[in-house]
Amino acid sequence: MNHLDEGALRAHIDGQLDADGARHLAQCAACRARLAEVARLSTVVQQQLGVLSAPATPRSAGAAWRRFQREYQFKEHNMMTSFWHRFRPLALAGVGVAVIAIAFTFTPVQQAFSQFLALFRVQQVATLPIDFSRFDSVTSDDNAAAMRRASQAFADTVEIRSESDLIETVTDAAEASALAGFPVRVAEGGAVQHVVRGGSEFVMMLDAEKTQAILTELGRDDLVFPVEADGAALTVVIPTAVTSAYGECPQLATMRDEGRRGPVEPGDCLVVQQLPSPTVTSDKPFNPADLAALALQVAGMDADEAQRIAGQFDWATTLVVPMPRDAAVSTDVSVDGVTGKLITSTASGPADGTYSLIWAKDGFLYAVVGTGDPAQGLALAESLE
Amino acid sequence: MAIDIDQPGLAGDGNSDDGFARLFEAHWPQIHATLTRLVGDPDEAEDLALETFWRLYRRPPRDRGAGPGGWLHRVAMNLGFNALRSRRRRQGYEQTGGAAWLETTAAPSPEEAADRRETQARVRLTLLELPEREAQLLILRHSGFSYPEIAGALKVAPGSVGTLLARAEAAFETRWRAVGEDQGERR
Repeated sequence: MNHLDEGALRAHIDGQLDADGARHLAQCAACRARLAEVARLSTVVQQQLGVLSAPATPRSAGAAWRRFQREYQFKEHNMMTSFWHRFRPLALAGVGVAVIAIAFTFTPVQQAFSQFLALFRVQQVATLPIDFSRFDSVTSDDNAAAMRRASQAFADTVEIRSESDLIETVTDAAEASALAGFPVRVAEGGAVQHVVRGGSEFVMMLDAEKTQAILTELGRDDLVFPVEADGAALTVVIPTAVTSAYGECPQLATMRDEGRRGPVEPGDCLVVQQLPSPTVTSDKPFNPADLAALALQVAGMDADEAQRIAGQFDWATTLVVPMPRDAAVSTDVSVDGVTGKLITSTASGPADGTYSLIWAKDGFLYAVVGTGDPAQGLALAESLE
Repeated sequence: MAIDIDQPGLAGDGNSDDGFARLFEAHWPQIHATLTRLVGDPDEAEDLALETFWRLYRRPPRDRGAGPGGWLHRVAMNLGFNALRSRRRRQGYEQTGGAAWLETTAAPSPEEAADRRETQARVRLTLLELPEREAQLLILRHSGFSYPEIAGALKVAPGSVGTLLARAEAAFETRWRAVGEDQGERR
């Protein structure tokens, strides 16, 4: 048998050397001499690493789980039931429909982008008032199991190509730009912090048969998947995004901080989000409006209304932001030299006093989210350089 | 130290909250302890650990064959090292000679604690100087992981762990000296 290499000697120290190796070692003085050296190095390094200690008192899993449920899972659940869940049918049937939760839940736009976007290339922003009460039949408890199976079936059509782990909080705009790979625009006064979050790329296979099965699952076998979209592979690219905080803001890097710090006083915090336009490319031509019409029907519209509304938008270039008809209003505003949408929550809505200003310009998508007087957000947007 | 990171039956399916709760309970102590070793601050480690589980919850890995233990530790290590890098940048270690960096760990008694903090800072800086896989390997081994567990978490062949470990320890020792010289020069 050959002499043992350093890896085998190192494994021996941890009791991981196989029987043959151990027999050789017992008989080989040269190997034992080298073992002493490997052991010395290993001991030194383990001692150095030994100063990194585990917590003196372990954090209880129970307490952590409650926090997880409170701050993370609850949020997800809220989002699921209030919006994403409702719009899963939209997404699964209607890629080309951009689905963003801004209006209803006012979740951080970045998060919304990463979860809901499915569009071609954004050149403009539009809003689509939806009567959410009509989704209730789709999302009732009776349907929860069907929804879950449908969601799973939907998830199975998606293959994640890449997903960045990058989440960096920096205070310097130049640093944020370097991390993001594009020049980060900064408003007057300078941001307190920038959070750079890596993008992702995934491929979604449109499959008529599978979609039809999902529609049946949802009790909508009256709807027909557009045949020309069958077999199309859609590649969705969501670039790295930068979220910049102005004023007295909760920590942005992790969502938990929102929960811990409590609500921010109106007007104290403005958040600017920017990213290059997400893109969707298809390997096969089809009319996204057909899918959008299907999606709108799944979401509860009748066929005529869905066709009419789907025909209103250029789905290849428009980020369509669905918003609850009874909880938010949208107005056109002039911002940053283009026309954007200002979405404000109404008094009856769940996010009273919150507004989102969204616009697209020069291949980038921007949003300002704040509370209180939207004039503040507009002024901040106008000062972006 | 036996850590069963891939207990059968706990590889909770992402669809059931009960399954996920069991999985959380089973893996939380290890994930939190390992992250605390790495970043020092138990609060920060808790945040990072929750973020790790959140990622699993939101988008479970497709390959469920091996159980989620390896995946969780891989993601936790990535987040932990990202946090360290971010901290190093934020605190401008290069400019301040490590003073700010050192202040992040708790300190009971003045002199010993200062020494200990300095050593901890040196260990973390040394780890950041290593290729990420070697640094992760050292942390996992130091946290008591077995060779098969390390192989699962880092996606390497079980038979290669000894070799990788020997190499990582040699690299650590070299960088350790270089970092120490840097620290010495700044003082």
